[in-house]
Amino acid sequence: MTGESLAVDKYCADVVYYTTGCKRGKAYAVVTHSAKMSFVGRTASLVSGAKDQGHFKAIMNSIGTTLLVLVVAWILISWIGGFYHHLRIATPESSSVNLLHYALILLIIGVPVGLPVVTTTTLAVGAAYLAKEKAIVQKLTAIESLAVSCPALMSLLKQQANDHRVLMFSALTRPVLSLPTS
Amino acid sequence: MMEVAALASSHNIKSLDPIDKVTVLTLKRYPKAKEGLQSGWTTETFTPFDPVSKRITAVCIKNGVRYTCAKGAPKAILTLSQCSKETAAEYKTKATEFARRGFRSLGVAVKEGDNPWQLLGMLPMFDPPRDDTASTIAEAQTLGLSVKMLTGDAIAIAKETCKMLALGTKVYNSDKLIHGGLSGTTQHDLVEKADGFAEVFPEHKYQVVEMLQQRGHLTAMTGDGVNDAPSLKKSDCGIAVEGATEAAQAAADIVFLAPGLSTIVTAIKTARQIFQRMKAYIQYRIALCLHLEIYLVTSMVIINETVTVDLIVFLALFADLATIAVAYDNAHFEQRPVEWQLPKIWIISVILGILLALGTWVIRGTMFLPDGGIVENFGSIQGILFLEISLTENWLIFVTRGGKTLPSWQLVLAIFGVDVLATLFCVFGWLAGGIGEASDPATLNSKLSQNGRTDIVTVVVVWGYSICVTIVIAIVYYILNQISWLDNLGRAKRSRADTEIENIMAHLSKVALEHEMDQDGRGRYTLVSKTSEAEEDD
Repeated sequence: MTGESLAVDKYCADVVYYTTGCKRGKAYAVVTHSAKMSFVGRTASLVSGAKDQGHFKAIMNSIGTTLLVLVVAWILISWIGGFYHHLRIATPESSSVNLLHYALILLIIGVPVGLPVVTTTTLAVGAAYLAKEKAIVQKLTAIESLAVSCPALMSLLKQQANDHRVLMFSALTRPVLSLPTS
Repeated sequence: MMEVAALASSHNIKSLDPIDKVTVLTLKRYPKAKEGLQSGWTTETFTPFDPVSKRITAVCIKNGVRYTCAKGAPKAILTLSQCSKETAAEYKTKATEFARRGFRSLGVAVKEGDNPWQLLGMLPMFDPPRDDTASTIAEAQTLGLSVKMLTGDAIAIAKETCKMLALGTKVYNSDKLIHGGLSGTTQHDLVEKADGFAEVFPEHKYQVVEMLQQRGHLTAMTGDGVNDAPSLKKSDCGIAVEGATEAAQAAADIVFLAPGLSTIVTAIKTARQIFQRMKAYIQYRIALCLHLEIYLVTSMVIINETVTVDLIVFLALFADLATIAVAYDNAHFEQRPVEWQLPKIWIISVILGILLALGTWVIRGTMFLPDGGIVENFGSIQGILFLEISLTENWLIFVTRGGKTLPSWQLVLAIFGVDVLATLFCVFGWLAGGIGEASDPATLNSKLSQNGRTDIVTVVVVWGYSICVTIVIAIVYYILNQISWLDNLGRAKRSRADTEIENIMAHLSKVALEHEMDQDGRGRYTLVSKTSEAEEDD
């Protein structure tokens, strides 16, 4: 995997990788591997393999865990209060004033079930907007990374292929010619 | 000269070589050469470029005279032609000068019939960045990003490009940087401070990203080639630009379909807006949880009373349903990179939660008054509490989203809809459980309704009271955001350096484990220093 720009000769029975450009001549080829089994496909699956859970998920997890711990603490306090009020565990059934109902109430309000729903919806709506701007988001949490990121590395020189109008003489950065510069 | 150069360009119009394309396109500016070309040339043989001869030759005939035209590397052309020493020296210095300034130059020569080769001149070529790149970079920099350029080009070209893009010219050779025997910290420092790297190999891109990440930066990276894929994956936000290979697209998190980099600025702005919305929601959600937890637990412990489970379920539903519309809310984008600042979120949320709980306690407290308190004609404790809680909670999203932009109609409509529903619950006493359970110090309110209904006047008073509570909370929230230490609390420290670890890691990466057998046939492992790749190349 290099940016090798020199053309190479290929003969009968040679392997030609998918996405290779043909410089001169023509040939018939037999497809030996397709999609994910090809060289490029394997490269892609290799790099898209294991990756840590990501910044966004870590943040969400920390918020969720903290809220959960808080709920447990509040339930404990309400129960201790309940003991002093001589509350029963599950009776009277029709009323909410018993220990199990207290625990249920605090769990309902304390566990933010809507948190993942709303954050994911927000990200998805944003991704839809970006798609209109011709930028396709493959991983929703990348939006968050983009917002937080400080330095951006850009391989700028790769952008120029289509624009020769500006300067009198212009050429590609990766020409098929490899010319010694000195 | 241009005539000859064009003749020595690829004749296949459909698949023009980039360099030949430029040569042919530039003809437009040379009408004379164009005229000359149109005056009856026929090509006899055409030898395309090959890396050995480093030139293109074309044999053409005009008016019965055979011309051999050549175009190629300056050196190759020079050795081809027999010219005086002075011309050769001048030609060479010119070639070096062009090379130093970052131009790629081509020599042109012609042979008329069987006469000796005649040197015609040199074509300097430069590959300019796209028009919009410079403005994109400037905009990205105002957004608080530091932009670094990674290019496979020679340093000279990289510097020239940096000048055109108004980037700094601290460009380094990446090979020297990684294999140059620098200590770990120096390497990291250089990577952090540099404006760009030239002669970059794919694996260096990966290392540059890794080093920046080790220093605590979050990186976004653009790329297009197969060899960019690993670094795209490694960076926190990989962006495959238009026309990228499939491997790069698969590895990237975001794929651009429009040419150029200008989309990146839009993407960053949008991302920060989305971030703003999520942050507002999370702040709101934590405050909400705390509000009900604080109020209900204190109410359970002190007066042995709670809001019934059925109403609680609806409170939780109302709190989340309406705020899904926050996804469509207007939001501003900050000029500097945004951060979660979890400690700040928590502190503010706790304060907001306590204020909300106090607001609810005040309204509950007034209902202990024998003459009705907040209840005007008739009302139920459960219904009034439910209304007050859901109103103040819903409006809290307007506080946490900040006042820099107006809320969108979707959000306002959704919240208003939920408010109307909550009011109906209160007015008709749905799920309020009639008179409800008696609190521990009994509520001796003369105006409590038997069927759980509440009159309209009381509802209006509760609405007014809730608006006041929200205004107070908004003021407190505004003041809290003015406090500078709180505002900067939890901003991650960027560019932190751990000198020792970095040095150790750099040394470790140069160490290899060697396995050898001694004469008894037992295996032995020894630590040796890795031969660097640079040496292998020699």
